[in-house]
Amino acid sequence: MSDNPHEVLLALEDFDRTQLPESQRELQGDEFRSAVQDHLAAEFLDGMGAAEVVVTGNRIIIRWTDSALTKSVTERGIDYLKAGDYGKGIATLRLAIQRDPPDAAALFNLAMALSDRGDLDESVELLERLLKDHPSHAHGWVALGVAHARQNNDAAAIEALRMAVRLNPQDGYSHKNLGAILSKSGDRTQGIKHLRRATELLPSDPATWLNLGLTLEDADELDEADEAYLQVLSIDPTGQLGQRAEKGRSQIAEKTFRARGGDVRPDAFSYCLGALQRFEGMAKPEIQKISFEIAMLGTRGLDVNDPEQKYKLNSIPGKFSGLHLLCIEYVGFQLIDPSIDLGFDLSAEYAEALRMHKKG
Amino acid sequence: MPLHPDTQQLIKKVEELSGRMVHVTEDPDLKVMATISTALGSAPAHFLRYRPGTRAVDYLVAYQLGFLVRLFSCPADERYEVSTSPAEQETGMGAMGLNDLPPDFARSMIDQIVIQLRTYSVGFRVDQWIRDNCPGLREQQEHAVQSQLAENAQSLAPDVRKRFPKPLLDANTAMNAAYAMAWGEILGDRRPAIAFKALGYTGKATELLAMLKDIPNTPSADRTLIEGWAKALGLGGSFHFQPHLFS
Repeated sequence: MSDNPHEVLLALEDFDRTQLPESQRELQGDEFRSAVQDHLAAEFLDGMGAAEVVVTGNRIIIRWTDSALTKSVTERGIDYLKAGDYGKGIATLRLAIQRDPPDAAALFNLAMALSDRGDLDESVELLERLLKDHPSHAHGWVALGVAHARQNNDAAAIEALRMAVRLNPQDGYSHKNLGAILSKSGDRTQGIKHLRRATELLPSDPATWLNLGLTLEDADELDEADEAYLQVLSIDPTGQLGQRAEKGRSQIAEKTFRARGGDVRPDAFSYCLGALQRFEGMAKPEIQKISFEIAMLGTRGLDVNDPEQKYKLNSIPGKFSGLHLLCIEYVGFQLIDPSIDLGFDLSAEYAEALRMHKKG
Repeated sequence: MPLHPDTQQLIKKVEELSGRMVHVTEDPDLKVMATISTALGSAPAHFLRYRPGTRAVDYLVAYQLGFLVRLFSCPADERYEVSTSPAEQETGMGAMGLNDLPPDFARSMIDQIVIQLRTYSVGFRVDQWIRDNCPGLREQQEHAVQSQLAENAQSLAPDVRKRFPKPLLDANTAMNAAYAMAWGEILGDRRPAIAFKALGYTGKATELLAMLKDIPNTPSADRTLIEGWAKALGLGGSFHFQPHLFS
């Protein structure tokens, strides 16, 4: 089919108000324009094709192309959702269900969209309708589980997600969601089991790895949690998930760091004292330059638990361990702006070093 | 370039029914895409001219021939043509709200709306026949219909509508609405009709289309069809049927 563009221009005053529901016939101004726009957009969907309807000033402009006819109303609704236009997507899928109430694809996608928008009761109601007619719709059970979880109805969520896993044990999203909700509700062992399975089935999904990392960290399985965070960083190094994984790694590093060294770690104390001596008499911009260089390096991760001197800086000659650099950075920011939280607590070591430094 | 075989078949049919040749010529200066002059009196042939290079020319010629097929399918004493006398033009001008406009312009408007009345009403029959009997012309027909639909949609623009009195606009737009609705059903795309519906023309268009179903689809009933549409559109008394002058 060709993709001919069509455009029709009408005067708003020529619009036949009897086309509107009785309650809207007396509307004026923007309310009237909005009612006309909604009415015409729905008319086009009912006429088997979407159109762009613009009502502005005293004009109605309608544009459409022939190619829009090649897709069903449900497909067009899904396309709108994929494009991020939830308003149009939801309206279109509602129309699809109006025309064909058991339309499984429309029910499923509309329910998902409503769930994403927080309209959870309607989402659950649509999914229950879907699953009544299609009890083997595994994705429907996943969506129902997610909607229940968003309602904080953990028991119902777990039940729905267990059903999804039973129906399709190879679906990573079922395991991922079940693992997350089980962990949240206290059954961490089962949660981790499902999350591990989810990472096998969805090895490129950073959210699955992050979920596993967070749950393992809560369970104090820090080595495996750190590995999971590293997976997140390898997939999504700069995104929000990556940042969350970075934070998780820092927390693990700190926990491990404390576990290995007691209240004041002598090595960290020594590095902090060295840094104070290095920065003695140095201008603030110079301290800032060094501290920021380390901070930049830290965005890619500093391994504070490995004593190997494997890092180099442009601003200071030599090689450094991760902990050494972190201490320099900590001291640097204490001197520049102590309110900055580096996410790693070296206050005890710093206080002791400062006391010694002042003593001379 | 020779015309499509389906069109050539129609030429033969017109020649058989009327007993006169159909003389086909290309005319690069033609303002419309195709036109036919029916043989009257002792004229030896029907003269069909078309503009070369016109897309869908085979269909457009076939469409013109379709009117002749219907005309000459009727017994000789039942062949009529639509004609307008000066008095009928006056009546039409009053009915269509044209009295305040310059007389020449108003008369030309009446002539045009009466031509549209005849072309659209009987034209539906012709088009349906072509669709059913000339599959080789279907693509061209759809192209021509799409062009017509687009042209009709442009006439809904406020700047166009404000130039004409409402009764005339209503008659013209109701026929265009019927065209959009009928072809919407045939082509499975109801969108071109929505703008007409938005302006409130569905009722009148439905009335016109109902007559296409209720009145027998025979050439001799075309006169009844035209009269029915004219009454519905307020054009009664604006024209008459005169016997086709063909011997």
